Amino acid sequence: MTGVKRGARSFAGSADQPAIVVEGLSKRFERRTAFEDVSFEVGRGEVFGFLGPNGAGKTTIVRTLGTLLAPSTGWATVAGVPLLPENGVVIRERISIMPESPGLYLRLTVSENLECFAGLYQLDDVTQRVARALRAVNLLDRAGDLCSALSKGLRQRVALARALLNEPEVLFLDEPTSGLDPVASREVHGLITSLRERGVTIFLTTHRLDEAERLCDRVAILNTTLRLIGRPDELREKLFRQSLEVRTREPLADAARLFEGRAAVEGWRELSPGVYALAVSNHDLAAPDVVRALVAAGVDVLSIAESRHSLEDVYLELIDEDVEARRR
Amino acid sequence: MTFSWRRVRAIAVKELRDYRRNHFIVATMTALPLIFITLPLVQVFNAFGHLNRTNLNLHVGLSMLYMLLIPAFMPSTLSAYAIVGEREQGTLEAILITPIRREELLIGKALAALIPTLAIAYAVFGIFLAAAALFAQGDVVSAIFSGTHVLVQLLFTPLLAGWGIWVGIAVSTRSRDVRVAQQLSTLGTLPIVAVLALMSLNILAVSAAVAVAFAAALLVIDLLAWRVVASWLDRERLVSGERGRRSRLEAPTAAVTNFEVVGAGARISLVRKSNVVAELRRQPFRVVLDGVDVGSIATKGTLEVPTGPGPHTLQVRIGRYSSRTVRIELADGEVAHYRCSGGVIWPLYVASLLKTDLALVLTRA
Ligand SMILES: Nc1ncnc2c1ncn2[C@@H]1O[C@H](COP(=O)(O)OP(=O)(O)OP(=O)(O)O)[C@@H](O)[C@H]1O
Ligand SMILES: [Mg+2]
Repeated sequence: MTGVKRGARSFAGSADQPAIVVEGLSKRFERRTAFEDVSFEVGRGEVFGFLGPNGAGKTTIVRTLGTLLAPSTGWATVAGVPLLPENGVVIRERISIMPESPGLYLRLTVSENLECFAGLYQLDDVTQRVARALRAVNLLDRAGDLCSALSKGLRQRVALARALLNEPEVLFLDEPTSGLDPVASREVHGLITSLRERGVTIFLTTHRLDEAERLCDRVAILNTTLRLIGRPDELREKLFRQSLEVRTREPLADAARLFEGRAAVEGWRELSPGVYALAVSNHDLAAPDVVRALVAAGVDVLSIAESRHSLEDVYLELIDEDVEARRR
Repeated sequence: MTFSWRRVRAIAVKELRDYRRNHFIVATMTALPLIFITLPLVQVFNAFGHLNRTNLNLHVGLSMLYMLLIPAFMPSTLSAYAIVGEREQGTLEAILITPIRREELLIGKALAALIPTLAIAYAVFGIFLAAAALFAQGDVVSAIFSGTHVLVQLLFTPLLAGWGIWVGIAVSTRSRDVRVAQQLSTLGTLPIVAVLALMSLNILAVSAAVAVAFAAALLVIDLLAWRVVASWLDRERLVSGERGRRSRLEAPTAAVTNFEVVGAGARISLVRKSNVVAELRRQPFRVVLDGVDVGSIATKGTLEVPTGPGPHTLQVRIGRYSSRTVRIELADGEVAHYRCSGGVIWPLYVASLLKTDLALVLTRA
């Protein structure tokens, strides 16, 4: 083996090295490109959110970084180890994936399921490890139940416990809360937070924007290509110019004259009769000037407010752009 | 990274635990031995009284041969589940993201089929020997225990099981449907059963030389099959179903009209339907007119191909599988109606693996 150059031992995985580095990574299937030219880095201990619509390539990227699929082009390191065929075993020992579907042996009990995987990871103290993982997901009392007798949410939690067994450096969670009730989701969120405190890097794909906004240090939006990456608040700023929402008692007769040419106002549009959205470059300059103009024109102003955009707006805006681009 | 028996054991233990609660498997494991011990016992107690020494020896051998059907059939039933069963349960991905090596997975699965087979086959044989020793006539007993009968039985049990296991797992890695895997893998044991049948009908004399040659052949096949099947357990292929599959369906999906249309022209109208609920091949067919790919046709779809009068050939294909080539003579202005469908019964499906133009059916409607 050429293990000296590329073997397991040479990748100590130092703390200052990013947990995941991805450069120009693509995966093409025979008839479809799952994702194209994706580049990003995930720092150690970071919770990194991966957002994207159905079919965006999220699962495929998790499988690629998890060494199940070979990338078509590009380069990556995972848990400090280069993503090469000969490093598959080393990477798999350091990471763990909770797949989209829990994938449990339904005719086995919860603890039998975990014991099998503890064996596959060659762990010592199997009983203790299994108990610890089950305690982490609050399932210790169901250890002896057959998996077929568990509800969807409970199965999801068993899958999460299984992903924790080998105490991974990098944990990939593919839509961990899909199909869970709010209480169960909150428990998963709590678990993610506590894992982050222990320094585990978490790569989380999700459809739930509130989840990404709340949990993630940074998020990336993928739609075959990487559309945007940054902190949730950064993304909001990057994508949306600040805006003002003006409500008047009566629809304005001459809105164009009133709004155009005001300080820091870059554009406007009527949302509904008497409701106007103004794109502004500086909220503090624009608001007083607009109010002054409206009052001077004798308009009854009901309210004037800064519009707030959630991550959801950012997301929908981006995906809409893609849909339109494709239509053209 | 070295081979780990720990991981092999984890897989095998998991499988055995799974069998225990699988009613179908429990039923098979109970029924098979009961079926295959009854006849030999009946023969040993009743039918052999009138035979002379050589004939007796032969018949004892044959009734023991009959018990070899247990290791011939049982493992293929078990191992047909090995991969496709994991796939259907959605557990395959969970297994593949662990550090397990493909050889470890394979051996774990093979042991899980081999252990119960050996246990049951040897137990049945033990019961047979014990019953014979206690209750059969003296010359029958000595016929059983003299010569090489016992040795042959002990030796062939694992060799036959090996065949069933590799056939089962091989089919299992390649199929997407548990039912099809079951049928194909049972079918895959037929060559072995055929040899056993030839021996028992005395067409193939069971001489020592034949037995040794047969054992040697099985051993070689078992060892080769292990390498081949291991190479099929590739993560990429198991997860995405792709690798080694060339891009077969690259031709355009719209009908092309690069045909010289003479006079009023002629047309071929093709519908795709089958009389049964499930076709075994469900992908779109490519339609090939005069050797040129002119379009595709999906299940329950139709396709109209404009062409000229005169002689033509027509065929439908999926990858390497196809229908027979049909010859057509079109008159000016004629519309010829054809229908096509995928193979629907598994003997034909199996035959089409060898003779690929049996896979699809194309007939004049
Ligand atoms: N094995 C495969 N063979 C061919 N195409 C595939 C395969 N797996 C995925 N794809 C395609 O790649 C694209 C990305 O799929 P992927 O499952 O990664 O999406 P996703 O972002 O996880 O979607 P979802 O939110 O629905 O889970 C899709 O168009 C899908 O059809
Ligand atoms: Mg997905």
